[in-house]
Amino acid sequence: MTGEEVERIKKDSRRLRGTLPESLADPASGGLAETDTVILKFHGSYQQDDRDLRAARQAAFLEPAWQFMIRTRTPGGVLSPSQWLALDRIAERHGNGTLRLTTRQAVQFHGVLKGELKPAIQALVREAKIDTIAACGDVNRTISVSAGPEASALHRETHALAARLSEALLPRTRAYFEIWLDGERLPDSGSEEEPIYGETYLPRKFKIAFAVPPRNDVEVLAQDLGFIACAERDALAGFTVTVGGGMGMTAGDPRTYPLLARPLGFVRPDQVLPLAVAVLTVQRDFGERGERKRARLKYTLETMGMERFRAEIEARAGFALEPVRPWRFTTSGDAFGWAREEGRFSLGLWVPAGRVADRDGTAWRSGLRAIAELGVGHFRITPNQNLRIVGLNDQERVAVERRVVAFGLDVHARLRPVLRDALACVALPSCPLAMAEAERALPALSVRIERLLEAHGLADEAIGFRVSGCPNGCSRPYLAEIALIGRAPGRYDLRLGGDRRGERLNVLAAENLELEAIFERLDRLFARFAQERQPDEPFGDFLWRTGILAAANDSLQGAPR
Amino acid sequence: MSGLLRPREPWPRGIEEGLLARLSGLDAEALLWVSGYALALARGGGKARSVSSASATEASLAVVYASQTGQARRVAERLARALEERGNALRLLDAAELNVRTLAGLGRVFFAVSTHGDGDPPDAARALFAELAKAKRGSLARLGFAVLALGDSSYPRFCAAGRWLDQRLVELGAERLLPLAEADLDIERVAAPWQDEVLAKVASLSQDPRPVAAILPLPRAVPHGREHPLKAELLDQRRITFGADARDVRHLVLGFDGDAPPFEPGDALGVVFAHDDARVERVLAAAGLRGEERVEVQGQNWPIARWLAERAELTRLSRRLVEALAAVHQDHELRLALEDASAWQALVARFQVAEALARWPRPWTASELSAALTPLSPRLYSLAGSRSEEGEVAVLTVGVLRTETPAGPRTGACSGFLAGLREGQRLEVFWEPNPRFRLPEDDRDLVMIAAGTGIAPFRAFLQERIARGSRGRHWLIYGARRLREDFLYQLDWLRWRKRGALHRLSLAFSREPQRRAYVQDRLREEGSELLRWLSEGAAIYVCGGTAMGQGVEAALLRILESEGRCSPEEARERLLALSAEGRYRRDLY
Ligand SMILES: Cc1cc2nc3c(=O)[nH]c(=O)nc-3n(C[C@H](O)[C@H](O)[C@H](O)COP(=O)(O)OP(=O)(O)OC[C@H]3O[C@@H](n4cnc5c(N)ncnc54)[C@H](O)[C@@H]3O)c2cc1C
Ligand SMILES: Cc1cc2nc3c(=O)[nH]c(=O)nc-3n(C[C@H](O)[C@H](O)[C@H](O)COP(=O)(O)O)c2cc1C
Ligand code: SF4
Repeated sequence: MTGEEVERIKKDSRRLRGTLPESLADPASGGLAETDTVILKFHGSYQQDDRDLRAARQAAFLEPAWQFMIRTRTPGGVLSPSQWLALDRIAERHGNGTLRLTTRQAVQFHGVLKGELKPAIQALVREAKIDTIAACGDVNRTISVSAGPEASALHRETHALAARLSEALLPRTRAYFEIWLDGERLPDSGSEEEPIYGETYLPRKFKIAFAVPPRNDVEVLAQDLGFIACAERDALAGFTVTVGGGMGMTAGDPRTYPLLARPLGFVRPDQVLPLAVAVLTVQRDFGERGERKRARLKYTLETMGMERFRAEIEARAGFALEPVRPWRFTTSGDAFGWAREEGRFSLGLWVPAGRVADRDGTAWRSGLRAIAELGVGHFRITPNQNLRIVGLNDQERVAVERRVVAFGLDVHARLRPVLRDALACVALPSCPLAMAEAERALPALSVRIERLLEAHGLADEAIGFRVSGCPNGCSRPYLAEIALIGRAPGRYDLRLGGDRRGERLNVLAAENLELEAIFERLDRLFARFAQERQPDEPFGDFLWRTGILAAANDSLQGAPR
Repeated sequence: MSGLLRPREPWPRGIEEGLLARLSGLDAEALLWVSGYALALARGGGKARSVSSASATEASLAVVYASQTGQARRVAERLARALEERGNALRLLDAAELNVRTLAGLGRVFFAVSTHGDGDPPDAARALFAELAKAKRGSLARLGFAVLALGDSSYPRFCAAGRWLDQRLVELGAERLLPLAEADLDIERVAAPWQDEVLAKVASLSQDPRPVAAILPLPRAVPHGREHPLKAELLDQRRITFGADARDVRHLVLGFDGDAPPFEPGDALGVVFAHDDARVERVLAAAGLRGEERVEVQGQNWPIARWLAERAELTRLSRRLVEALAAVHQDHELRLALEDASAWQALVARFQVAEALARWPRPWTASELSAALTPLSPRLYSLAGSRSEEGEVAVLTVGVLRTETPAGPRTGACSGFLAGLREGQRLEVFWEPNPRFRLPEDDRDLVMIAAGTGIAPFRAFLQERIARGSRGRHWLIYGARRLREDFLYQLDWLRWRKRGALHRLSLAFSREPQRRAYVQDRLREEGSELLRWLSEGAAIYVCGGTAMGQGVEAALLRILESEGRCSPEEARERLLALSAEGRYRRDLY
């Protein structure tokens, strides 16, 4: 669909209603009318199909096995145990029996059939007290927040601010309540005022994150709008604002590329909301609307230039930005195992590719359910698709630990770092854009890399490894030390040279290679790494220092070809 | 008019303005009459008699058929030819063309009547049967008749339609010329002697065998029917349902050596098949036979194994077989089945021949066994594609019958045979015209009601209508189990709906967790819309299983009653009237 078509659909949608009720009621198809698939995203759901079955169903004169993904709006990924139990039930009742934790700290349900969409959303709102409004679509998406464990007082305040911001940036249309919750239709239904978004909403998705240094787990520089918390005497002083980051690119189109965000200035906590509204509306008014792949804020910023952009923001926000304050990140990864936060215990648990399921002899879903049933503490989804259980006293810690062990959820202690820190997007079979495997192939790919490392005596080396099923880059592969980006079944682009702090983009090292060829190259690089590295030098840094990655590729500009 | 249809020159001057121009106003029956008249005239040397002396009402003899799948019609046609060859003037009529009044004027009538549904007459005869049921005693006092009933003894109400007609005509005062004859699937065994009796009877009755012009069925340009099998090749076969417990339905494409026969949407293709070795082995083992024993059937000598494989029904029990078992076994189940319709149904559903032989063992000779079994009848499958869309091939939609039993899977004889064929394999088929179930001549709206594989002819209908650029509207009311699994040809229907060729699509899924429904439920919900379509001239077509057809009819009657505000009687009348107009047509199996 072209940008113009999407813009027209949004405009004609009567504030995101479209013909969704009719599409949902049509018994002849498990899918929606095409225009409604665009509208549905704003309600927090994507139409997908089981791509493993697509060809066979087509040959049988049957439409694709349409199914839906539902994504929660859970700013900072914080959930109470009873909310977790409700999500667990909903996955069983209306989805495919699994929960997927995402890099935006949302929970996704996959394999929801059309007839289950409405019951599932109703159950989410009524039983879990969680909605899905604007979890997808051309609006501000779920806001991410560092998941800790450090600086928990900062985290608490930052999280509260993020939640308020998330509310404030919601679309005002009541379409969601009318369509999913049988809300009443009022006289202005279909023409509600949208003060922030206007009638065509944003040109493209918009991502906001709050990072609490020294942990950059949200990878704030990959966001359209980033806030880096700054503490003064252990209290929150404000945020350094970064703008114009973004991962996605389109294969073969040199006008698209991943970019790191640039620092814009510093704001106090009470300036966060007006600043965010200013950035959002500048993007609304200046963003590209004809061509979706060029519509993200990162391109708007490039087109406008930083000075004009800043002036426009300050004019709209009504205050001048203070100078940027320095920050220091040490890692973008998660912490695993027990830690103390504000005098309480917290536990970092590894979840394989974010998939909470009981499969292949593992018991993530029933284990986490058992922990939630204790009714203690809170769950916090991390931006690395893992989970923290926080706020436990000593007794509670013992009870949780017992269940963790009983269900075998303590594997993080036994994992090699490559697999433990690896990220993959959902990709096949459900993502319609996927060109190659990601989540399903991640364990095998990680183990291959670990074997190669082992052969060079690097068995316990932590190397940031990420896989995405397509150049869209949902697992933020452009920041990884080693990234595979799907181009075709079994074929990937190999990118190398990110750091492990989310502050350096990698570059394209080889294009569209078969896996075996990729492993051969990695093998040769690991051999040199083992020989020539400096003490404790990370793999990504090594590649740049030794000139293996050519300086011609300006890392700040990604790797436009 | 195409050149081929012109008489060779020199033709009489002015024939196009005069005779041919007049023909254009005549209905099918009249045209048939004229052509038959002309044919008889031509055979008689072209000497003209006055038309009045050969007029239809004057013919003292008629052969009437009430047929659904063509068997009764074939028997009737053959009888008519035999009578005509012996110099009798007669009319050959479809029961659809008759009412009680015209029947009363026919003189002597010989009926061939098959039974369908749950002991019902063929659709074409329903109006006549309904009228007969209400007719006054004595209204057929001047009629002489005889009935050949066709049926299948594996159905609980064997030959019910023929039996009822035979009885009813007597009640209305007609004279029974010959006792009722009941033919099972081996029709010839009863039909051939019956024809001889009829010929003898007619000869003895007619004092004046004066030859007049007879209405003869026109020879068809292309031979058809089971006596004329064609060689075909399987070009494509694939399963078109999904899901572990979904019914196995196959899409088959058959190619012919040369052009396909000139079938039309609504017609069916018959499939000639043989049983697989395993099934024959099981029957032989259960009967204690080796297979090489020889049997003499209809003048042909066979090894019993081959006869069983190629000529015998081995999946549907025959009455004679059950009688033969009951004669030896004092068994309650067997006896009850022979007496009670639903017990019979249950028995047939539970046992195929081998299973029955094994369950009630007795010593069998090869000839005893062959005498107890009915001959294998080819199975029919509706054409699921039109030539305009699919080309010179036959497309079939075959539901594969397969149930798991403790003794192993029980498969349908023909559907199992077809499912086992691979692309490139050859088979024999025949063209079975089904004029009752073809598209209307005009562009009128269609309401198409189907469940399961019953959707097949409607796919062909829509393809054909789209190719013709028809302006009629189309409404499909369809029942399946689950949306994702067995909405047959879903992509076609969605495409047609999107491009505006399918105007309304109502679906009922019987196994969807929340909204279990059958087509009857949809019909009732959308009754007023249905009446609106009817009032605008729509024709209703129903295709699929017999039980569904009955449910649909009950629902239609209810709609006519409640929405049309009339009595049950009037509703029935209206449906019959629609049927007589060709606006209510069914193809049930
Ligand atoms: C005009 C017409 C059109 C048709 N069109 C189609 C079509 O498009 N698609 C399609 O799939 N079929 C169609 N049929 C049905 C088809 O001809 C066969 O009847 C069907 O395929 C089953 O045949 P079979 O040999 O596979 O099964 P069979 O071997 O005849 O029967 C299989 C099993 O069914 C059970 N059974 C048989 N008779 C009875 C009975 N009287 N009561 C209870 N159980 C019984 C028995 O257990 C038996 O083992 C059509 C039929 C007609 C008359
Ligand atoms: C759907 C269906 C239902 C039938 N029901 C009966 C029945 O109830 N009783 C019976 O004796 N024969 C029944 N038969 C068998 C037919 O009467 C028999 O096949 C006959 O030879 C068909 O003749 P026709 O082709 O002229 O219609 C049925 C056949 C079909 C296809
Ligand atoms: S990166 Fe591509 S394949 Fe993976 S989830 Fe995102 S869009 Fe789908």
